[in-house]
Amino acid sequence: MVVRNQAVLTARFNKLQDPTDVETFCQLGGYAGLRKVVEMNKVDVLDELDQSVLLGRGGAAYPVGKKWRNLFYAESDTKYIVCNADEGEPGTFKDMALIANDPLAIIEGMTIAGYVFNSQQGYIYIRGEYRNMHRRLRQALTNARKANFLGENILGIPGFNYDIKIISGAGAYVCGESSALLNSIEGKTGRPRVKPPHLAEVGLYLKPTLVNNVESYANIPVIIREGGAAFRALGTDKGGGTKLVCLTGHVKNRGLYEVNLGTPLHDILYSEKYGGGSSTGRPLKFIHFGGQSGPIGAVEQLDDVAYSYDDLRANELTVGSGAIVVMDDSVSIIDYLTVVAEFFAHESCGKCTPCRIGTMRILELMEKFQRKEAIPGDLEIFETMLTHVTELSACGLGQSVSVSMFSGLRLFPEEFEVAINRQTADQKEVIW
Amino acid sequence: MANITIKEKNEIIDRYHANPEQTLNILVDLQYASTDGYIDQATAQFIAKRLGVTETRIYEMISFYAILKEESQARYVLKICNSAPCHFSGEPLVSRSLKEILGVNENEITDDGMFLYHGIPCAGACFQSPFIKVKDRVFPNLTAEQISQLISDLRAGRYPAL
Amino acid sequence: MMETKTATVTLTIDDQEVTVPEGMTILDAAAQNGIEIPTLCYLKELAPDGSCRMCMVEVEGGRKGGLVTACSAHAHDGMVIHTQNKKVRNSRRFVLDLLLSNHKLDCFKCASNGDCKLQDYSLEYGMLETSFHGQRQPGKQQDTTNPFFDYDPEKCVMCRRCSLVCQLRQGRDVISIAKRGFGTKMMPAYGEDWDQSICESCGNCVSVCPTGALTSKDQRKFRIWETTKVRTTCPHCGTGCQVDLLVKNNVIVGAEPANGPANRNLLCVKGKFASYKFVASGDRLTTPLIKRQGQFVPASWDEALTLIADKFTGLKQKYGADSLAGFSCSRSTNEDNFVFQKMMRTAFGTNNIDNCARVCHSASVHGLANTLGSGAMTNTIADITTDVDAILLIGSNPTDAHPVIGSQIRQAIQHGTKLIVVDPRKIDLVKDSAMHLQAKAGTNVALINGMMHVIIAEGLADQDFIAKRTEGYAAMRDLVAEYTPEKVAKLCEIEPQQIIDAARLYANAGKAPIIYCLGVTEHSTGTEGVMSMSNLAMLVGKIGRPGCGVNPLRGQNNVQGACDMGCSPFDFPGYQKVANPAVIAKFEKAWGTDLNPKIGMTSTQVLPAASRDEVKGLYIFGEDPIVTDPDTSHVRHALDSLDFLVVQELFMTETAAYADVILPGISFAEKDGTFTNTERRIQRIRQAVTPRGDAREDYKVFCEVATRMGYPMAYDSASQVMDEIAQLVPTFGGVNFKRLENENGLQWPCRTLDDPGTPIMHVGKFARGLGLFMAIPYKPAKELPDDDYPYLMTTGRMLYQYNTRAMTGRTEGINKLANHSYIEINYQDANRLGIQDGDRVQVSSRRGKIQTYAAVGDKIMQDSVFMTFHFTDGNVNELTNPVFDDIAIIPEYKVCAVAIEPINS
Ligand SMILES: Cc1cc2nc3c(=O)[nH]c(=O)nc-3n(C[C@H](O)[C@H](O)[C@H](O)COP(=O)(O)O)c2cc1C
Ligand code: SF4
Ligand code: FES
Repeated sequence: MVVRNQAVLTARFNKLQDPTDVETFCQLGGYAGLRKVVEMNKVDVLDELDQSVLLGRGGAAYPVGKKWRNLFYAESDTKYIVCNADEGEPGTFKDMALIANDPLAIIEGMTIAGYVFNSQQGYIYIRGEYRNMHRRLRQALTNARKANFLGENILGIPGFNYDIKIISGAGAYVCGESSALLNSIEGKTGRPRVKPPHLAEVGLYLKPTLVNNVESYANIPVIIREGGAAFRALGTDKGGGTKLVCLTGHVKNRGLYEVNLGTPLHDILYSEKYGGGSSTGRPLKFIHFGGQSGPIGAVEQLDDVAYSYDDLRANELTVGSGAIVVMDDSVSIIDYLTVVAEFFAHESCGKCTPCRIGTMRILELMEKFQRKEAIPGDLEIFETMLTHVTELSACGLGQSVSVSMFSGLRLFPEEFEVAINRQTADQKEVIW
Repeated sequence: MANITIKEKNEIIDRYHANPEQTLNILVDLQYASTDGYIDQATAQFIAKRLGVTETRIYEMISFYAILKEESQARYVLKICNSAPCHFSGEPLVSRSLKEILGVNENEITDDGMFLYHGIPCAGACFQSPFIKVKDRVFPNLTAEQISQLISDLRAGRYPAL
Repeated sequence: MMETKTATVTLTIDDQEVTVPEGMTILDAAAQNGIEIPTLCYLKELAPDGSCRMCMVEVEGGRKGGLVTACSAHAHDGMVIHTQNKKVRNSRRFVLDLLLSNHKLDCFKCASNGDCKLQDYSLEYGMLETSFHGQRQPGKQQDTTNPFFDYDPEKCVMCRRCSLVCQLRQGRDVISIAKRGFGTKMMPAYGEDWDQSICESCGNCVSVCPTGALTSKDQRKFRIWETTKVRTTCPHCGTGCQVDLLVKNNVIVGAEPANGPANRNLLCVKGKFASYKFVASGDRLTTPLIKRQGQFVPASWDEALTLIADKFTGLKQKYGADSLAGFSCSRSTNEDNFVFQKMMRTAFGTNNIDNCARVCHSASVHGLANTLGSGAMTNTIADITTDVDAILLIGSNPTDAHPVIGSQIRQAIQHGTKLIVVDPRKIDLVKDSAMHLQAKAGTNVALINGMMHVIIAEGLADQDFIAKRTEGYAAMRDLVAEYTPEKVAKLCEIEPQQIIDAARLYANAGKAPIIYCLGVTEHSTGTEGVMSMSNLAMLVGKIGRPGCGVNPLRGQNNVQGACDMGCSPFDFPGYQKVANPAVIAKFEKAWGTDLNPKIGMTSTQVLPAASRDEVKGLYIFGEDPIVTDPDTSHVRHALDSLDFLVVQELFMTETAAYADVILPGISFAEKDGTFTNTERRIQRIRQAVTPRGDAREDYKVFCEVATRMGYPMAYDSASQVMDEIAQLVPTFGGVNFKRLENENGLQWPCRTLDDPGTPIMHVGKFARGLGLFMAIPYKPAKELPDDDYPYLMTTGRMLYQYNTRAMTGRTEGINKLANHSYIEINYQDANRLGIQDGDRVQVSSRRGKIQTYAAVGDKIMQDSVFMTFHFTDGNVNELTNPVFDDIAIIPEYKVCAVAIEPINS
C-alpha cells in the first residue's frame, strides 16, 4: 500500500545495481502490474485508469483513461503503442531520469498497454541527444525479452506477442508533437499531420495508435498494482499520483524531485528537501512552468498555491512537462522571453505560414523591445500577432508560443512599457 | 564521410535491417561513426538506394533534424545549451570563453579544423549548467579555467572516445 | 424497392443554408454552393496539407477561437460558418502580410504577373505591401539551369504543392522541403542545381505553383491576360492527356495540364513544354511544292492537286488500282483518317491502305481481336492504376514512352500495388518494383507459357471462368505442360524461382492488370506474344472486370483511331472486314460506288512491292518511313522505285525529299477533330491557331483529290465527318461532337446516343463470344547473335523525344536534354571492348552501319545493347531486321544482332 510522501516512480532509483536487470526489478515490485493485468477484465483496467485520474505527463494533461478508452474501442486488427521519449521541453529531464534509473518500469507500462489493446508492436521514440540512454533502453529490452516479458507468448499466455523497438530522434522539438513523432517513426521528416483524423483512428502507418509520455507509462504499473483510487490519493481529486518535477534556474538544489500533486509550491521552491531557495542571494522573481510552451507566474503571487493541476489551472498556470524554471530578479522578462522566442523560431517545423514566419516576426519584435526601440502601437501589434499565431497555427508548437509571452506581459507590463519610446512621433497601427 | 568504408556503412544499415522506419537511427549512427560529423551526398544516395527510398526523402530528413549535418564539421563539435534555463544560469560564460580561446564565432570551424561550437536547445542537463557537450558526453558545472583545460585536453587527444 | 440514400448534413455558410454529403470538407461544401474560399496549398488530387492557413473560416462556438481550416475540416450538421467576417478576413490579412514580408515584390517584372494567387489575394484583401521589415530570405538565388523553367526561391510561399506533386503524383520526388522554420526552403537534394538533379522536367511543379517561384521560361513572353485558353488533346503519345493551349496573337505560347480522365491534371515534359513550339516553327511547309528537275518549287493548290489527280488516275488506268497505295497518319484526327481511307478505297479503288500501327501495335489489333474479339485496351488507365494489387508490366517502359501513365503506375506503387516488370532492361520503374524478370528480348512467349505452367500446376487457374467463358483450353494446357520453370528460365536467362514467384503474385492478386507495349508486339512472333497475354489473363479469370484485363499501351496519340477508322488493308472502319462480302456491300451502298474486294497490302508489304515495281504510286500522309521503318536502305530503294510519290507533311522530312509533290499539312493545333487514346477514349481536339501560309484542312485536301479523280467528296466540318462515321461504324453509333463536349469524351463501343460508352470490355461476355485460348509454342527471334554479330540489340523510346523528333526536335530545351543517338551497353561488355561512357562507337548489322555514342551502365543486361529510334544521326533502323510476324506483318524491331567497335579518334 502506498502512502503520501513516499516515492512511487522513483522508488527503485539507486536500488538497482543494474537498472536493466529484470530479476532485481521484479524483486522490487517490477512486473507485478503486468502479472496482475493479465488476470483482469480489460474494461476494468480502463475503469481503474479513470479512477486514478492520471493526466498525461507529456504536457497536454489529457486524461490517460480517456485516451486508452478511445483506442480500446477503435476498430482494427493492428494497433500500435508508442512511447513519447522525445523530451524536448527546455528545463525537463525527468523522462531521461526514468530511462536511466528504471527503464523496465516504462517497458512494463507499455507492455500492459500491449496486452490491453492486443497490440503486437510498441515503439519508443527517444530524442537524439539522449544517445547514452538508447543503450540502456536497448539493454533493458534485451533483458526483458530474455525473461519472456517481451516476445512471443509473454507470461506463457498463448498469443500474447508483443515487442518494442527504439527509434532515435535527431534534434527536433516538434517531434514531441504526437503526429510529427509518428511521421518521424515512419522515416519521414517530423512535421505534424493534418488533424483530424485523430491518432486513435489513423495513427502510425494509418493504424490506431496510442501515444503516451514516458512518465505516463511508468505510472501505469503503479495504478494497476495499487488500484486507481490509491493512485489518485497520492495527488488530488483533479489529478492523481505524484509528479516528477525538474527544478532549474536560480534555486540552490537544481535537480529532479518526485512530489505529490498538491504539494505547496512554496515548499518546492524553498524547503531544503527541494529547491532550497535562491542560489544567487537575490529574491526569486518568476517561475516558468512546464517548459517553454508553458505560462509564467510571479513568485510573490504564488505563496498559497499548491502544485496541482487544479490549483495551477486556477492561477492560469500548468504542470506541463513538470519543468519548473525559477528566475531571480536580475532577469528582465523581456530578456527572458526573447530567449524563449528564439527557441520557438528555431524549432518551428516550417510547415504552416503563421508559425514559420510568425515566430520569426515575434522574435524580431522581442528584440526590438530588448533594444528599447519599440514605438507606440508595437505592443498592440505584438498582442494581436500573438493571438493570430495562436489561432492560426497548425499544431501545438505554434499554438503555444504566445502562452509565456501573454503571461509575461500581464505580470510585468512596466518592463514592456519602458521598452517603448513614447517620445517619438512615429506610431503604428494594427492592420489585421 | 571520408573515414567510413562502404562495408561499415552497410553494417550500420544492416544493423537496422535496412528498414526505412529506422532511417533516423541509421543516419545518427553513421554520423556519429564519422570523423567529419556529417552525411555527404554520396552517402545519402547510398542509404536511399539501400532503403528503397529516394534521395530527396533522405536529404529532407538530414536538413530538417538539427543533429544531422550536411556539411563537414570540425573534429570536435562543442555543444552549448542556449535554452532559457541554462542561458540565465551561466551558459554565456561558455560561449564567451570559447570565443576567446578558439578565436572563432559560433558555427565557425577553427583554422586547424579541430573545433566548432554552437548552441543547441535544452540537452536535459540544465541542472548542470554551465556545461559543454561533446557527442554524448556532458562536461558539467564548468568554470572558465575548466573550459580552457577541456580544450587543451581535447587538443591533446585525451578523450579518444569522442 | 430498396431506397439508397446518401447521408447528408445541413449547415449554414454565410447565412446560406446548404445541404451536402456527409464527410465533405467545408471548402468543398462552400465551393459547391458558389462560395469561394481562398487557398494556396490546397490541391484537389491530394489530401489536404493544411499548411498555408489561408482557408481559415470561423465555426460558431468552435474551439480555440473557432477558426478552422476549411480544406481539412468536415462539414457537420448544424454548423454555422462564416467565410468572410471580420475575424476571418483579418486572419487572412495576417497570413498574407507574413507571406509578403518574405516575398520578393517585383510583380511588375515577374513572369507570373496576373497569374499569381498571392497577388490576387493581396489585392482582394487590401494588402498592397507588408507591414513587417524583418529578416528575408537571401536574394539572388535563382536557379535557371533547367531548360524549361526557372526557380526563384524569393517568390516561394512554401505552399509545398510542387514538392507534393513531384513526390506523390509524378512519383519522381525531386523536390525536398529542406531545413525548417523560417529557413525552410524548397529545393532539390543538397541544394544541387536543377539540371544536376534527377528532375525529368515534367513541369507539373510549374503548373501547380501559385506564384512566380516556378515559372516556365516561355512565360516571360506573355502575360496571362493576353492569352486565350483552348482545351485540346496532347499530340504526342497515346495517353491522351487533356491540355489547355495558351494562345497569344495566333501563336501558342504555353500549355497547361487540364483535368482529363487520362491525365487528371498531369502532363509530361513533352506535353507541357514540347507540344506547341513546332506549330509556329519557321520551317513549316506552307505551300504545295512540285519537284521540277530535282528541285522543289512552290505551286498553287490547283496546279498541285490537278497534277496529283492526273498522275494517280494515269497509273491506275495503266497498272490497275492495286498499283496505288496510301499510308495514313496516326497522329492526325479520326476524321482525317476516315476521309483518307475513304479516298483510297473509292477514288483510288484499292485497299492498299495502312498506318503506322503496322510497325507498332498491329500485332495487338490482330492478336486481341483473334482471342477476345476486339483489338484494344480492355480497361481504362485510371482503372488499372487505382486500387490494384499487382501490375504485370511486360515490354513496356511507360515512364519514358507513356509518361503520365508511368506516373500513375508510380502512384499505384506508393499505394501498395506490387509491380512485376518483365523487360530486358532495368527501366526506371524497376527500382520501385516488387520483382524484375530480366528476360532476354524475344522470349515473352516462353515466359508466359512458363507462368501458365506454374499457375496450372499449382491449381491457381480459374477453372470456373475457363469452363464458362472460354474455349481451346485443353490444347493450351497440354502445350504449356512442357514449359517447366527450369526450361523456360534457361530460354529467358533468368532464375526458375522468379517465374514461379511472378506467376503466384499475379495469379493470387485480387486485381491485377497486364500492361504491355512494343516489347511484346515488335517481334516476328508479335501476334503470338499478344495472344499469350490473352491466354494468361483468361487462365486466371482476370479479364472483363475492374482492375484487370489485357492492356496494350498504344504509341501515338491517335494510332488507336487510325486503326479504328479503317486505315488498314484488312478492315473498313470499325474493323469491319474487307474479306466479308456483306461489309463490302454495305460500304458500296453507303458510298455509292463499287469497291475493290481484294484485301490490300500492309505498309510493310507495299515498300518491297514498290521495289519490285508492283506498286507505282504512293500517297503518304504524315509518315516518315525512311526514319521509322526497319532497314532504311531498302526503304530508300523502294521510294526511289516509285513512279509517283505524294507526301503531305508539316515539315520537309527525309521521306518528303523523295516526293514528286509535297502538300503542306496542318497540325493538331490548327484543326478541329478527335483523337482516340489508348483506352479507346474519343476526345476532342480544337483549333487554337489558324493554319500557316496556304495550308488547308487535311481532310479537305483528300476530298479535292478524290473529287478530281472522279469521286466527288465534300464535308463542311470535322463534325460532319464524325456523323458519317457514326452511321457506318456500329461501335461509334452514339458518338457525335456535341456529346464529346463532355470533358470525359466517350469510350467506344458506344452504340447509341444514350450509351455512356464502355470503360471495361468483355464484361460477362467476350466481344467474340467465348474467349479463345491459343496453344503457342515458343519460337526464337529470327536473327540471334553469333560470332560475327555478337550482341543482341533491342530498341525503344526515351522520355524527351517523340518518334522521329519532327515535333519534339523543334523545341530547343528538348534538344538540350537529348540531341543525339546513343547505344546502351552493359559496363562489363564495355570494359571488354575498351569503351567508355560517352565514346563514339560504330554499330553494324548485316544491313548497315551507324556511328553513335556509348552510354555505359547496368540498365541493359550483358550481351545485349539498346538504342532509341528517334535520331537521324545514328539511325538505328539502318540496322534493324525487316523480318515480319506472319499475321500482323509487324517488323522485328526488338531483336537483331549487331557488332560494336570503338572508334579511335
Ligand atoms: C510542440 C510539441 C512538443 C511536444 N513535446 C513533447 C515531448 O517532448 N514529450 C512528450 O511526452 N510530449 C510532448 N508533447 C505532447 C505530446 O504531443 C502528447 O500530448 C503526449 O506525448 C501525450 O502523452 P501523454 O498523454 O502521456 O502526456 C509535445 C507537444 C507539442 C505540441
Ligand atoms: S505550428 Fe509550427 S511546428 Fe506546428 S505545423 Fe505549424 S510550422 Fe510546424
Ligand atoms: S535548458 Fe539547457 S540543458 Fe536544459
